[in-house]
Amino acid sequence: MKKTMLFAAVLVVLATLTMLGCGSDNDSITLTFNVPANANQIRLLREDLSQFEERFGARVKLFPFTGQEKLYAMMAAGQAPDIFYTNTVVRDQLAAEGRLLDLYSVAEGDSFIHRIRPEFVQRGTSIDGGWYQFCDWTFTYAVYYNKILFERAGLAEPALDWNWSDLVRSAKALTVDADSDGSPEQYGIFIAKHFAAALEQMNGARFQRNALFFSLSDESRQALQAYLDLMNRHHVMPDVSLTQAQGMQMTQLLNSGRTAMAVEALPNPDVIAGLKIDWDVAPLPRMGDNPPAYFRSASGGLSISAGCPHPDIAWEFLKWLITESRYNTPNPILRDVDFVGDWEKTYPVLAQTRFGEVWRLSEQYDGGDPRDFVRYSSWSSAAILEILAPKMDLLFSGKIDVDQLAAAEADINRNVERELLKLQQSALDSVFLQQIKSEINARRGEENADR
Amino acid sequence: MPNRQSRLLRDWQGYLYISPWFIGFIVFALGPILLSVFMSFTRWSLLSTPQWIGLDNYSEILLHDPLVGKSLWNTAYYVLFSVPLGIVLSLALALLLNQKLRGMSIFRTLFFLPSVTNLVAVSILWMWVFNPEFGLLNRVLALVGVAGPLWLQSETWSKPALILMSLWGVGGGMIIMLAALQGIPAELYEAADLDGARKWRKFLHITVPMISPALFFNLIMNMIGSFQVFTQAFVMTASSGQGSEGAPNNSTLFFVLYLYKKAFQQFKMGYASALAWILFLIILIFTLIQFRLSRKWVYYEAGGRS
Repeated sequence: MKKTMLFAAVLVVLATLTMLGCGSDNDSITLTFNVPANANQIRLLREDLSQFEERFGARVKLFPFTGQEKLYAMMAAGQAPDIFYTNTVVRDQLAAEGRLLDLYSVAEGDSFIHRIRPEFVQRGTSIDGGWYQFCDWTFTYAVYYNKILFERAGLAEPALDWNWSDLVRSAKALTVDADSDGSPEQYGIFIAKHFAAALEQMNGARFQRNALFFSLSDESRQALQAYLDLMNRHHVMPDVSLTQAQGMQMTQLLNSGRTAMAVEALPNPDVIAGLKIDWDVAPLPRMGDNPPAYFRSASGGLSISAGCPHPDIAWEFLKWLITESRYNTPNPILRDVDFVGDWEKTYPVLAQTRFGEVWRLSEQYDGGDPRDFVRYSSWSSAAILEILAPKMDLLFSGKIDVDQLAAAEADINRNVERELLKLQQSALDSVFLQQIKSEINARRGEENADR
Repeated sequence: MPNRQSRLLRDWQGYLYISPWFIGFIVFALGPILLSVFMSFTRWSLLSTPQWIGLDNYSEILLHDPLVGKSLWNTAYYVLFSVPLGIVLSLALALLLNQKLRGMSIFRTLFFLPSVTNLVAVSILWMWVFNPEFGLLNRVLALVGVAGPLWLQSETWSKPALILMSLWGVGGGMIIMLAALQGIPAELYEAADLDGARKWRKFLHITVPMISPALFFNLIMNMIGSFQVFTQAFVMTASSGQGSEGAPNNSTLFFVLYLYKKAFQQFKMGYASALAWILFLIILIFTLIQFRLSRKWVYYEAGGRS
């Protein structure tokens, strides 16, 4: 009996301690931040955090993770971080469910807004006019090339206003098949699959951001065909599916001399560190007679939870992140920052390249971000991509042609419409529902007119 | 007769001792299982309130969703080849390792090791083995004059590649078979020798019946595991980053991978729950069929055939 009593007493003590441990430190402000960064950025952020914490009397707790699964689980458990990363696909959905703070509610009247390039405020704005996402970074795409191989082939380096024909001509001259076995030892260029959308844009395709339905314009078809021709007609690019499946990095392709040119993000610290050749960059080539529309990423950003108890401090934290901390600074979304100069100071090799000129072109002819997760809406992205992605696999491996891809449009949009109709009974904010309904009706109107 | 209250008082310590497991079972197993039944009749995005939609998820899965058929076909193909091949190979290895030779325990350990290795690490290793240009497999095939296929990048060869890889993990089954082989009384073989039986006859009429419970156990476990194939497909088949798992052209979109994508990439928890219950029913039906068939071929020493 004594033993039982002792056991019960221990249980009571443990339970009491547990209950006491559940108490929160209500007397201080704590911000929780889901930081989607690499280890180096997180290290810098941890080192800098004390500056912010001292100035605002707040503690910042970091939750370093990427991906939406964990975020959704935390939200469902009522433990959403105060500040977290959202991609464009989930942003509208979360906003429509009232889970994101409209940043205007804390930023209105703050002169800081005027320091942000307006297109980045606009890119974080949803269809109800609310600003839900602080797009805190951007990059462009560029053609990196091996200067020595150009020189060896007796070719002039790409001009800043070069076009697609120039690229194909150069790529042909740079492709070397010494033993004439039909399998070149050196290819002219490599453009990974996920850059094809930027070519569509360069060919004049314009995309409605967060579109509910899928469509493939003539400009997109031409650009995709031109891209496939690099492999199948001109034989100046290695098999893209195979090369990507092998996990070949663009730096490996250039360093090994396997390709003379390759498209990658600019600026990109991993590429800068990884390239061991004499290299330079050129902008993406213009296609046809179209004015250039260079890729500028805006696929995600930081959002503040609607349940954040200290939204003003959270807003100050966002400002501090991109202006004072070493996390993502100097930041290209700010107007008054010498982004090119500061990056060239950090990475001196960039000063010997045309990084500045390519970057400024992307600012001047900003075509936006045409990638899948920006192109299609929260509500239809999955329905589009679950049919489109396998078709793209087939397209890039030469099993279907561009016309067959385009023929899938009706099938894809039927799938989308089935998904959208389910939303009619959902508890989404009425502004979003109305917008979705009007797009469905507009599409039906167009279809009827076509008939 | 002791009344109910006194019985409870007498037994409470017993209940207390089993409570950690029992509470864990209720909270982490039975609760979620029952909840998933309810969820399968709802539309639920994890964040929204579940909305009752009756049998809509089931009707969509069975009548309208083309990827369900595709993923079922992929899974059936995988089960059909990986289960028999796995059993034959694990039995063959067990027979080889059931010899009285020096250093046999080292071989047993070596063959068993892959089955306790982390599947994600193994998957990454095999991605390199299957690399069409630099991979070990195609290099070996090239040595004998065979041009290896694209393996994971080929719609035709991606499933055979994953089946081939599954054989890497036969060590678990092998150990069970080995234990069963070592449990066969030597007198049976001695009696057969006296009757002049050859090796194949002894294998067919003594070894197989005597290890049939182990074969049956492996068959059931392999079949259930193969229906639930997920990790290797998730790790090895993304053609262009997150969301593209199951490539090329959905040729490796297995049922559980599809379920995962619906649940944790598209956040259609109700739909994914319905998928899970359909998979449960499929596995249950095949398991019951196997139990029924086992009466004809599984021999239990204690009670003859099951």
